[in-house]
Amino acid sequence: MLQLAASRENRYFDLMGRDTFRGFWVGDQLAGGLGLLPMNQWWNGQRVPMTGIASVGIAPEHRGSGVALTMMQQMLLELNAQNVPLTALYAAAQRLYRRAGYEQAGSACGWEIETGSIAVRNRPLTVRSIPLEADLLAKMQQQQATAHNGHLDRHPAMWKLRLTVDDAPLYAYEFGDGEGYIVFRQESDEGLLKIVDWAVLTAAAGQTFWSFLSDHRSQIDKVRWTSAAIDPLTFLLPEQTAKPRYVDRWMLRIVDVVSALELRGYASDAAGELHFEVQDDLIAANCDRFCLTVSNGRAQVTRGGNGNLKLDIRGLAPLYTNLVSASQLQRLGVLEGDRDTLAKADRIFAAAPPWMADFF
Amino acid sequence: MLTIDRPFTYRPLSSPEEEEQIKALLAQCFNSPPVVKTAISI
Repeated sequence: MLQLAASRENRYFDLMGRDTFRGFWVGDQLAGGLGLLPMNQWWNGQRVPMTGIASVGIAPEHRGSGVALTMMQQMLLELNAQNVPLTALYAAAQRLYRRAGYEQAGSACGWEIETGSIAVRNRPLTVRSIPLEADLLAKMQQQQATAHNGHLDRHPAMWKLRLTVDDAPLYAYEFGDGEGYIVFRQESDEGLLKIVDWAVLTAAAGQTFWSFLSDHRSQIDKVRWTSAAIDPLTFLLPEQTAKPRYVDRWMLRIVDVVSALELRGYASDAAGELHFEVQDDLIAANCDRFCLTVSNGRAQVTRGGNGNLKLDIRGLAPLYTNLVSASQLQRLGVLEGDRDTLAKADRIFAAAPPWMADFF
Repeated sequence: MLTIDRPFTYRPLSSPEEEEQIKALLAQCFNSPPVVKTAISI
């Protein structure tokens, strides 16, 4: 992860706008601040409102005093009052966010490949230079998002940041007629091509993606991009020459148990009824027994039931996203349940691995 | 489950002066090793 210089921090602030920031004062002293990015996140083909948390900062003289946790709690109460079901963030201090009810919930992986090893020559689609316009790319990005658990309807500021030209120019190309795109910058001194955004919607676009990159091999030594920890794109390569550079796990906090579960999509064959009991030290409405009834890919949640599956709000996050199955979470001591209940929870929450290519 | 016992306020920014204060705070946090930060990345 790259840290921003002060000027970029200010530009980030300006792009997000004053209204998205919150301050935390102790007495009349500004002790901390954070940014709220209202978005949607895709779960099994359904978009669920999710607020991304960015720029969490605490003044040095207030660090270690409980300010950070209290500020996070106040933020969560604000989101809960606004009926926001989910919030997510990338954490540099996981213990803090776990205390606020967040838990690891999905991956973001940086990949690298030597251009000479791509060896994909087939280019079934035309490649056309296109302007760097978010509106042009957003339609394809959204199609990709619907098919991948954890992907976002990006906040406008994220588009602007992504498509802002810094030191090196950005180039954008479309594959075929709306079958995918690639946006990248070249750092020729290092022989590096950095993909800042991409979408691949068809098999032909996947072939074209790799052949286009392969054809840079006379000037570019390496290509870097962000994808899933198990990147489906790399299945199209003739050899396993793509290597992960880093794997991050972003964290999720269920802010509203009922709406989070009702808005999520489920596998069409995942019918059933699951009784569970949640503990949440901060949000009283989440602290209850619930009955989740799933049919035809959607769910209804009612209060009550026998609470067969017992977990706290933190444990619900990786179950919700299927980063970790109920059976695995039970073995890790994160939740309790009998064998039948665990098997039922495994079936109901089964989903493709959660990941996103966005940072915020 | 509040963790500090001193009077505090959490709220949106209400003036350009507060905006500048927050910018300065975040610039300091993200240009020195912070105790608490959430990644902003490209």
